[in-house]
Amino acid sequence: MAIKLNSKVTYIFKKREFGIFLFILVLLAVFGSIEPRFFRSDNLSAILSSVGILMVVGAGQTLVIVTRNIDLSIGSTLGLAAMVMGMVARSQPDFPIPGLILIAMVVGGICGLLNGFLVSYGKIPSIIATLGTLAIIRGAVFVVSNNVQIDPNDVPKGIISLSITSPIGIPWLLIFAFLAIVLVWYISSQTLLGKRIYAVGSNPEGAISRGLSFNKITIMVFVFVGVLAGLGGVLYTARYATINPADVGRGLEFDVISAVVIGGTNIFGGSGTALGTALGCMLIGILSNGLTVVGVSPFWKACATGFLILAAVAIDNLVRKKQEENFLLAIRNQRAVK
Amino acid sequence: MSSLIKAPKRFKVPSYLVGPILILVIAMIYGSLGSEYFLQPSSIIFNTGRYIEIGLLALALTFVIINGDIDLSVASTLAASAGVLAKLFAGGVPIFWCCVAAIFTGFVLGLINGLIVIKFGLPSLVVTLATLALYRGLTQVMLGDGVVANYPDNFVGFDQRLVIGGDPGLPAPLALFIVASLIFYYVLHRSNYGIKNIMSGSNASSSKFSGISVNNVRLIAFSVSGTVSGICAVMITSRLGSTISNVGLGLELLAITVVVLGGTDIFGGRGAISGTVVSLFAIMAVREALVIQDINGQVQDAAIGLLLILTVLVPRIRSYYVEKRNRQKRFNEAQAKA
Amino acid sequence: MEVRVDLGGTAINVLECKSVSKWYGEAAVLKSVNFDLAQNEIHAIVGENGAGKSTLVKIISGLVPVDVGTIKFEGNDRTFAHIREIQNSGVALIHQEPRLFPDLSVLENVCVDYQVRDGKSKRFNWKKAEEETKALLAELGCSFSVHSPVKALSVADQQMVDMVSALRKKLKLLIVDEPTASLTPSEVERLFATIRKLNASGVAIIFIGHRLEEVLQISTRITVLKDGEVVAVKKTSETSEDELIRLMVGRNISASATDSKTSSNKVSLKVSNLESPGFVADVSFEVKQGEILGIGGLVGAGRSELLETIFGLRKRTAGEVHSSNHGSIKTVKQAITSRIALVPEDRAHNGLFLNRSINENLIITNLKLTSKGGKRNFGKEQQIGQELIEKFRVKLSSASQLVRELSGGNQQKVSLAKWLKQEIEILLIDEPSRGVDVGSKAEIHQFLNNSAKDGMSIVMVSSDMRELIELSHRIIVMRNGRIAGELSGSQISEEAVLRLASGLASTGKGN
Repeated sequence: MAIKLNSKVTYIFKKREFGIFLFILVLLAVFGSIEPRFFRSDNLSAILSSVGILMVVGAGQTLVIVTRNIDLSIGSTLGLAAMVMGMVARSQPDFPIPGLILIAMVVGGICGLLNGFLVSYGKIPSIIATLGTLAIIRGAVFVVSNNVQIDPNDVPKGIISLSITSPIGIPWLLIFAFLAIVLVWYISSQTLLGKRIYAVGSNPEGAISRGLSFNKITIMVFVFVGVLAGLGGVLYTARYATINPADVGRGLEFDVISAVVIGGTNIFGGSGTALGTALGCMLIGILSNGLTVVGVSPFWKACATGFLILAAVAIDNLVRKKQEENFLLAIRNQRAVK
Repeated sequence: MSSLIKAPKRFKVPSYLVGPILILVIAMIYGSLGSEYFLQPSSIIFNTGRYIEIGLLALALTFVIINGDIDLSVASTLAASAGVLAKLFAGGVPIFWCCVAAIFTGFVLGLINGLIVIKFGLPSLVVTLATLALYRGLTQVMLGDGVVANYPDNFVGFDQRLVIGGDPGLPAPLALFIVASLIFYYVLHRSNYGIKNIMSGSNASSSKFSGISVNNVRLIAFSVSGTVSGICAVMITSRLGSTISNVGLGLELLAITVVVLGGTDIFGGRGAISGTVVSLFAIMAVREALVIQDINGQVQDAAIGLLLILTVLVPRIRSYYVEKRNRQKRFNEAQAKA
Repeated sequence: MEVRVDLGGTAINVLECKSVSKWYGEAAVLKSVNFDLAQNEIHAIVGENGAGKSTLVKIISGLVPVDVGTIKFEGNDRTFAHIREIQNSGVALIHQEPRLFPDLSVLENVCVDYQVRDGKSKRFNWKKAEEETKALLAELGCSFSVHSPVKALSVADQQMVDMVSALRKKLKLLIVDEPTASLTPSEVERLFATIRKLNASGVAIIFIGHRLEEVLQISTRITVLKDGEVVAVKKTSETSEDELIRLMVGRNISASATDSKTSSNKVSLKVSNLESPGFVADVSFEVKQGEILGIGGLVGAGRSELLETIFGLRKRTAGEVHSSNHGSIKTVKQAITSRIALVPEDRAHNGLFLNRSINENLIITNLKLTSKGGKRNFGKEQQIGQELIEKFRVKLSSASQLVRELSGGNQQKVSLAKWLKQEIEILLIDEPSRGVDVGSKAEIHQFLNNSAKDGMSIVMVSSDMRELIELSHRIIVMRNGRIAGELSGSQISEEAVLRLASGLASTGKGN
């Protein structure tokens, strides 16, 4: 008689996140065996730092994509939040750090509010709306800063220290990343609001006819990702200490969306997890760092990311098709018995 | 005899053109107020080089979007094609064959997009997001940090060539664009492929039930998009006189903006070449008008982003109020009868 | 002419609609409709397509705002109430447009619109919700787990989930719109039992149906709508199917004369051992020239899939399709070249391009005729479009109108007409009159009969028993992807078809 595994355990194995986790282990093994330096603690922490910002913003973008939307403007939002905060810090060096963080998050939230209104009440498809706000908010960065960048001198030590340390030894950057993921996990699996967010993405017309506040939920997810992008701006400043109006946050949306998609979130909405996104971020970070450590030219990074996305989505698709086949068969068998 | 005399058709401006035409006119007025040289043909048309490249990408993208797909990789395809051109040229191949190879590369990369989308049944948004990275990565691998220059004199400066001499004459890029627009117009609105393309975007399933090979339609659209990117690669290399790995970075977003501003529905099934063409000239006029006012590039982008949103938003607001007014009117009429 | 029936003074009116009117654009969809509902009744609304039934209940449930009129719910004015307010006061609408979320579990689907009432504890008690939901499902006779994703459930089970989500709130008024379309007879029984039980416990029911036999079976009172107006309100026990049809249509529709159905003996299409995994298994049959072959069976028997496989749309793993005049058929292109056409069941998703013009819809299958060398000829397109519109009497305001704006019957005509400019030898048609008004239905039936007389072979799938029996020369019945039996001549009866379809007995030529 074959040993039957506890059904809960097999359930975990079937989950998509486990697949990514396995792949990460494989990568770690491969990179580590080629170049043991890979496992050094400073290298590992460099990986985590590089994806910390990605995770914070990615957590928010996950919920946006779950609602069948997309936010292309998060890079610009991050930039504006960082710039505003930087300018306040520059003109008032003694401004309390938590206050600065709050300012950045509020700026991000306002950008998100704009997006939310355009998509919900304005009924503009989110890909178009955020394509527009991507440019508008970037323009605002320029106007607000008068094209003057923020130098490391202007950044308070308190902010910079966020990427280095905290009372418990792990940098605040990583703590924030972890908190963002946990927050999204909590919302989506434990709260009714989370279920409603998924419902909106799974069946928008159904959501309306069930009386869910479709517009409010849409605005909420965009504000949420905006606030997280604002926080991302703080972390960006902490890490790079320079805020250039043209460069800050540029191209971030691509990395974030890639991580979310690799993490298993369906671009058509209705499904996706925070854990998946976190793993997706880590996968991208490990791949990028690993390739460098192992000696592969950094120019292969983009190719690798592209392949990852294709592989992830292709696997997802295959699995989904198989699942649907199984469901249909089960239903037919059910009917035949009756 | 009477069949030769046709009743004059009432010429009505299609609603999707109203926005772009308005923008074009206002921008031209604004620009001419800023500089007396603005409306002079010579100053307008000699600046067109880089806009025409975007315009060509937009024309091909119009096909892809109407048919229900999207191609985010157009700029990366352009870059990879330019990379092939540069590498071959640096390797001593005659410039003519380098150009041929570049165009062929574009075709192949576009074809690959189509094949992946069709064979794996994956959403084009995600596939072209992946190839955006993949093809850009290939470019980076090919060119690295380097620059390829020293192109022959008879190759460089295509954008300044005149097809029809004189004052102001007709610059080659503009001539090319006019020809391309006519071809695309003809194919979309007057050929069988065009109607199949539109119907596939309107309802892929009904198209299959009607005997249309939707996969062929999509494959052709992607291949054309890639080929046009290849042609643009030649043009941009000629205009800039050099090639680096981030050539064309970000052009895909601008191309999509042109298409959507021109009235094509991002979800497919509806659109027109005339819209894309007018939209391109409108955007060109806006940017040039702002350049005269010495307004920074990022703010120019912001203006375009704002116009994009308004073009989609204003018609919706209008129809909302029209419907509201009608309802109120009927309510009053019914009350009066009671 | 309005007939009001007095139910007696003791019944309280749960719902009172007075002079309700609604316009979509310029078209009046409801004209001064009065509608009452007492607590203890199951009140059915019948009417042709476009009569306004669905609009009326959408207004009652708050999905759609009313233009003119008042709606009183238990005596309180609810005319302009928000949808959530209405739902919280105990009104639920279950209709074809799914209110379920495929990616979410049953439990999540049921709880998603739960309102936190007292605001004291914001945390939702999942355990309690799970117990309650399990109990409700058990009451309705359902056995699936509350954690299964809804997309894994059959249509009938999904309907039960929909019901449970309505039942979680204190239900006072339940509206079911066309619930039986995709159900097996035993599932219909389960549904009706549930409805009766709910009614007995004090929930008023509004029932919308096209199948008049079912309406007469389940309801206590019937309102007939025609062209947006109430033409009659009758006690179910005092009316009949014929009278209802007469009221719905305004004229007597006699069953089409069953003249002797003859067809030639020449076989036009032969299907042998056809197999499409999961849906069609070892199906073989022949169709003769001039014959209408009906295909009966329950939903899920594989009828539509059979037609799609023959037409080349579905993957075939075994078997052959052979046309006498054109040879073997494997792909859609070959089917079309062999003069075969398929009019699909779901015209909105598979047969039509709703956002495109009527003309475009008509010519898309006729490009060979209207174009030369890949270049379109607009003049010819207009001409052919006009021809088809006239031949099929499609009612429209202009050929460049969007198909979406046509009524169901006219849409079906377009879905059919687009194939019929060219000589069709074999017509595969799936549910010819679903969602079609009685007038258009008669026209379509006439067309099918005439075409058969002219030599066209027709393979017709239909769930409308009357239609199936009246039109078919011969009927094959499918069950679970196979042919369960064949009926011809005097063997044909509703009962015989149902027995074969449900596998109760094998009569006639079995498989």
